[in-house]
Amino acid sequence: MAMTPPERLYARIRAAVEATPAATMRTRTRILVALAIVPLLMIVVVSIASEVVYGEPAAGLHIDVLSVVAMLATVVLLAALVVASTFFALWQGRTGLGIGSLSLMSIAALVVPVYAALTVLRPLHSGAADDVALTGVAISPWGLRCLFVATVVSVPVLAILAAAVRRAAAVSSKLRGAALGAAAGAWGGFAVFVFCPSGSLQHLLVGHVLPIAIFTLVGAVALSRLLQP
Amino acid sequence: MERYARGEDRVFEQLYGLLAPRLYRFCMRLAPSVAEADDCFQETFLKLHRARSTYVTGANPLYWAFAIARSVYLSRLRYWRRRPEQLGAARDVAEAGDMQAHETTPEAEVAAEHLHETLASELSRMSEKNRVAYVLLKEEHLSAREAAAVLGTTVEVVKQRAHRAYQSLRTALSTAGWSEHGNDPA
Repeated sequence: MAMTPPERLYARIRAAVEATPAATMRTRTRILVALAIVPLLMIVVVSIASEVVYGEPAAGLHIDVLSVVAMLATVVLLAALVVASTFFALWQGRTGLGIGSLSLMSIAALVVPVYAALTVLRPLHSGAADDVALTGVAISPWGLRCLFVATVVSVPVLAILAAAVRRAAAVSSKLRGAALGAAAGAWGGFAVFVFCPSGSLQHLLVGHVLPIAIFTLVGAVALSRLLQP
Repeated sequence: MERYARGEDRVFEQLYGLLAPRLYRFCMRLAPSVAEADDCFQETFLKLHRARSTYVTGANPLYWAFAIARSVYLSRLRYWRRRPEQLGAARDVAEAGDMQAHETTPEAEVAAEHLHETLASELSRMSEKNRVAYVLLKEEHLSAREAAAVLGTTVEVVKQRAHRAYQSLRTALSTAGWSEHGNDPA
């Protein structure tokens, strides 16, 4: 049995709606724009940073590489991780309510360990680049430069992705924020992987993996309100 | 909804007419008082308006509105939990008036009111998660899959929660002297 709300409510709602502006650009359009900007942004930042620091673009893919095949395979797998996490974090589905909380939680929880497994467990660089003699560049054992590059990529990516799905998470907004944070962190992680030739475990954990975990947390904490209708 | 999402403000009245009756009943089931349900309903419509550009073509706008209403209710619940001293009076279940007796005899009216009070009281006592799952499945007649999408969880979890709610309603009715065949005081 349906219930008719009181007339006075309609008048109040009508007045409130008329006084409240609403965005007219559809979410799907915003997502497409975001997906066009984000890869370009990452490529521009990495190219400039790598050129400035190492004197060549994509230094992480060229300098001190142990196996070209392993490197190519890792690049492909990392790209797949970045694309998949971004796709599912933005996915609205046919219901418009996105994927379930369990799937969002899986994305938020899995991006960091998968990235670490791909880039830290199996050495792709010998570690020779950590010696200033090889590249002429002093690489911080704490990965401070990489932390900075990851932040420069992840902050705008997170802002762009969040703007694309602003007000679109009627369900599980905190987990959606965490998934978006993980996706933005993955873009930053991919950027430093392409940028940096270090093979030091400490450097990789702090400079490459830690930013992803930080952005996952930032997404969960800071984006919830922005994503709610 | 599709036209409204495209920016056609003049279809608001039509949209309101389509969504309001069931959405209002849903808010009444969620909220502990009529005043709170009114606020929840109003805020839901305002949020639906602000988020209209996020509407996905072909999606059921009512289920989308249910999801927004629940999000609004949970936000308000958190707000009130932080300020317990400002909590309003508890709901008088009879004021909802959504179950009117169809029989005209005084006995039937009293029995219907008793049944309604028992059900409403038990519903308001159970956890929000179980209650909303029960309301979506048994009162709004959503499929388990649709309810799972509205609640952002899995089909199995929705079924479990609704079953728990159903069991506690059955127990409450049985304790109050109701059987499956009607009022049957022990």
